[in-house]
Amino acid sequence: MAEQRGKGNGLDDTSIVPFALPKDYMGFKIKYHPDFDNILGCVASQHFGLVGDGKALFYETTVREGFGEYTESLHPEINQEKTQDSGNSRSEDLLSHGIRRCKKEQPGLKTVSHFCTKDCIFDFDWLRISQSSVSESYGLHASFAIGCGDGSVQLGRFYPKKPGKTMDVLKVYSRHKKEISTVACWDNLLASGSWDGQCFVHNIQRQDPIVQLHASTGVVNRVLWNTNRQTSNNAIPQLLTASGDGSVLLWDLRLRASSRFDAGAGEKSSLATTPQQTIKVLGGEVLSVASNPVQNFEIATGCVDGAIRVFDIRKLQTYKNGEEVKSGWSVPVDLVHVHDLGVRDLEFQNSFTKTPLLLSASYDMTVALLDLQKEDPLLDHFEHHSEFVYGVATSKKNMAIGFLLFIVWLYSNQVSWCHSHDSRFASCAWDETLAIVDFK
Amino acid sequence: AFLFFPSAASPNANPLRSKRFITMLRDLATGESCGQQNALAGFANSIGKQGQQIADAKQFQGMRPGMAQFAPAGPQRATMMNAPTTQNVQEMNKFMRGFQNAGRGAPAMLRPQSMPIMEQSKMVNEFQRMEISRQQSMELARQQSMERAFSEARLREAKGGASSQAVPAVARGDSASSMSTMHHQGAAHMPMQSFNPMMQQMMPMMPMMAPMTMQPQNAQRINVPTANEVQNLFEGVQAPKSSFLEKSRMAQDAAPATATPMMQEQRSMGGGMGLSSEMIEKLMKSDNPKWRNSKFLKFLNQVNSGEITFRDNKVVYAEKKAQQQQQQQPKMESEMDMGEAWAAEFNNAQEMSDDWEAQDSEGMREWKRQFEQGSSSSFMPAQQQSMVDPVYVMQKNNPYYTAKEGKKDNGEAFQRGLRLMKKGNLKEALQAFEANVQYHPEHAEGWRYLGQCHADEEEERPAIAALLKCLKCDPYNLSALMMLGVSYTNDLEEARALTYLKTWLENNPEYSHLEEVQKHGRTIREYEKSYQGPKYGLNTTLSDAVMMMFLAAVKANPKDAELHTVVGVLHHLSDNYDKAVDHFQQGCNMKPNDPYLWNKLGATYANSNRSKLAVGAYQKALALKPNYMRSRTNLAIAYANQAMHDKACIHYLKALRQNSAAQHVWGYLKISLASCNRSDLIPLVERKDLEAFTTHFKF
Repeated sequence: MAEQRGKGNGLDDTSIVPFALPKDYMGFKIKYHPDFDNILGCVASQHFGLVGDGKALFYETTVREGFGEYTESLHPEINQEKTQDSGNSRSEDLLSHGIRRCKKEQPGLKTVSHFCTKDCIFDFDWLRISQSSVSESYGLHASFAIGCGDGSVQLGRFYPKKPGKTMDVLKVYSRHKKEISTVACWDNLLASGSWDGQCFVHNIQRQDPIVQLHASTGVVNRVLWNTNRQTSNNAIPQLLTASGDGSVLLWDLRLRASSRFDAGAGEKSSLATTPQQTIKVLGGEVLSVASNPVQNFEIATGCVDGAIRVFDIRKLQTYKNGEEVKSGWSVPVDLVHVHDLGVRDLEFQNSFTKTPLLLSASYDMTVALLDLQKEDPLLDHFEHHSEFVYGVATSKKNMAIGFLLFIVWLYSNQVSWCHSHDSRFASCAWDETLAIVDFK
Repeated sequence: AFLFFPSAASPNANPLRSKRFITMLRDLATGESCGQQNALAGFANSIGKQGQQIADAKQFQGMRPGMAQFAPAGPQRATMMNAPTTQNVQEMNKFMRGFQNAGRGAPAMLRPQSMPIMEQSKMVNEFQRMEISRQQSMELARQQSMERAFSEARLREAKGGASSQAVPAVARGDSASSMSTMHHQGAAHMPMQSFNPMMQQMMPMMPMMAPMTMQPQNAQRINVPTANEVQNLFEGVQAPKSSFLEKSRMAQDAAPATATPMMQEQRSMGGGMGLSSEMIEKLMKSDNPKWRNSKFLKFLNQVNSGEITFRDNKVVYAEKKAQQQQQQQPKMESEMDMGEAWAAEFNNAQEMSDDWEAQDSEGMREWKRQFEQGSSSSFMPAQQQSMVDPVYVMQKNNPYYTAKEGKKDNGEAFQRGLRLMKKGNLKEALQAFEANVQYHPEHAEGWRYLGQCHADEEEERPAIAALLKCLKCDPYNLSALMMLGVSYTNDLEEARALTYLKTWLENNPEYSHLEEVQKHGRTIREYEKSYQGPKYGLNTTLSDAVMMMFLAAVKANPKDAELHTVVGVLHHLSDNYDKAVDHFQQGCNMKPNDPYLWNKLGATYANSNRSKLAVGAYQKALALKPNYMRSRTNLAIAYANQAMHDKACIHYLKALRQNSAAQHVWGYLKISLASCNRSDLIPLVERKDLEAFTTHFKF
């Protein structure tokens, strides 16, 4: 009997659990909180981001118990039966039951907070927990930055402990002239890219930007701080901007940003004139970019042609007629074609033990799971969405500090312990759903 | 080479039939598809894709031997995955162009009249991405190499110094035409068309033909290199001469024959509505159920056919629009009649209003509704009320505010305000908050606290003004919504109070998901829609529905003090004081340290003629917050109601000490003085001489 059940709960099962977003809201971006594994944020906009309101939704992932056979096995009678059948194996059975319980755990979502804007939201990012995150009255709060369709970046926060007390807008930056397509936070730096081709980097404690980057002649599709697991908080990482003119620019802000910090906000912000490096991607508009958390010299880009190219930023030679030239396409170290249409979002898994897998969300309405180490990198294709998949996220938990804070968080909130799911991702799409997928 | 001709590909081949490697294999195995046509199309496509693959493969063969194992994998995969056929690409382009035109301008009938530029560009942006992804990589590569040519030309010019501002100039011109994304493709290539036939062939690929002509002339001229220069550059920077690319180029040279007619067609059509809707239909009939069922495509179809238009950040459906147009005409007529109507009203208002009811004209009803708006007693959705909303006026000579410090201020003013408020120094806190909102006009919390201060100071109108400002910055600020509901209740504006309380509940993450709440929310919205003119039954319906929503919420979570407060307020609004008291008491039990709640309880007692109990509640509120002016005034009123006018006067005076500008409190004081036979002091009230009272009253 137990064996049968064991088969039924085979580990290879992929479970896809969809959740509905508010009606008429299309998911645009989804991200796990970098410190709190169980906090999931998703931004959604009305009417495919053309017109309407935007919503940032914050969930706590929970475990829904009592699914299928599992409920039965909890039933005391069945346990009695078992003890009658094989009295000595009861402890074993409980053990196996416990394991099965892990397998059969279904993710659930509980809305912690939400945040509405009068224009569409296209992207958001979490701010890491810092000292200022602890408020006297409500305990820890989670801060986030959202990029809106009206060209403003808004900083907000919510107290997961106080569901009603959520609607704090801390700051609004409206330097951009067009829609914000992307935001990225690192420490207290906030980078935002917009359709006007500009990228601003703000220190969140000040109103004026530290630096303005002419990132593109087209749209800035993605900004990304190139952090890796080893990066400590004292060095400002490179900033990557992926843009519609088919290039990924790498900016070194260390000098500039640090001098800004010292000089204060009195002066006018200056321009960082040239990027440190340029990746020219042969694939049209670059829609997404991700850096390998273990080896952060590896940059994966997703383009409109549906190809995922991986570049090594230590050697970005270009080539013409077999010879190296100064201007030309950058040379990818890897090229994967698994999507028919543009690759909208890329995310490396952040696992401690294994080599990071790459997840890609595409306009062809699928999510692909890739292992770049293999010859055939495609591990799996997920077709659970019925419209363009816009965002994919894996748990970002890393670093000891984050873990400690997590413990503090647990302690202060009595949040049920949630396993770190190495084999879990969340995705959101234009079909008004987000899904939590456990693979293998 | 015929494979490159669009006509060679099967017309039936669907652009979206092409599928991934895996799907294809699956199809092969099951024998489901992959007829000859498909195979042919697949082959034609794969060649296009392969070019890029080969180029990429060569790149890493040369560069990184260790990774060479990937090289064969790439092209193979690519071969199996067929990309769209040339024809499909062109169809897609046609579709795109039609779509963009719909957004941009040429055909007026397609263009949503009030569609803001931002939205158009959003739409086009999205589609441009899809579109490019469907272009063959060969063409893409060529395009990009041309682009490189241009950027170099630009650089050259920039070095010459003649036009170092060329790039920004283009960007600016572009933003004027709202198509920033297009510009690197459109603007840069536009001028070449006239002299380079190959470029001309490229033109159908460039999505932004129409807008390009809108580019400011000067911007173009600065930026664009001469013809020869471009020609040379293009020849020079031509991509690696692998055999494939040469072939493809030949094919491209041959292609204009087919491509040019299409361009002409495009031009003459000037809109492409037929085409784009055709394309959408095609996509919707695609084999892929995902495309068939795609809401996005349906939405686009609706936009394209004019069923949907955009207005004020909302989607408007066509039927509604038609209705509105119908309504507008009688309205015009009624405006003409307005003079008469006014005249008649002066003569005999009563008779006139009877007339109105007798008339069944929609226009008249509309007009009447507008008239009623002025009296603000009828129910309207919150957004429409902005006309009558109070405007916030800043204090002059604010010691906390200096224009210079604005840039430096980093929340200090706000923090100071909070401290002062905590201490109970409301006036200074108010000034600090005002300074804060002047430094940061978009700080929603700042406005909210400002509103709170005003409410505590017994100044309802400024409080409402500040809270409305707060909602402008953050339309879903729960506390502000709640406070507005309460403030409007105090101002006896029931409909508005209900609207804000409803919004509060609907946006409260804890309750918004409740079925009952959503159901009644819908009922209310439907009611608003069908709302024609002022009726007496209206507010009852609204308050009933809102009440049902809140009762459902209370049922879901009976331990939320805030919720009980709102339900109390609602009962209070509908004069159901006993129930209101019940809820406030429950709230007080859960939140015994909330002076505002005690004050509400007291006020409800007082309003239901239980002034003795009210006094107790007020005193609790005042114990928690000694400078709570509203509660102080209420306490005085409660004493006055019990004919204890001496005590009432003392508390009035105490209240006035906090804010001597509160006109109504002076008024109450006057009445109480008269009632306790101290009419001799009334002149002091007229003079508002608070100090003079110290000799007569101990306060």
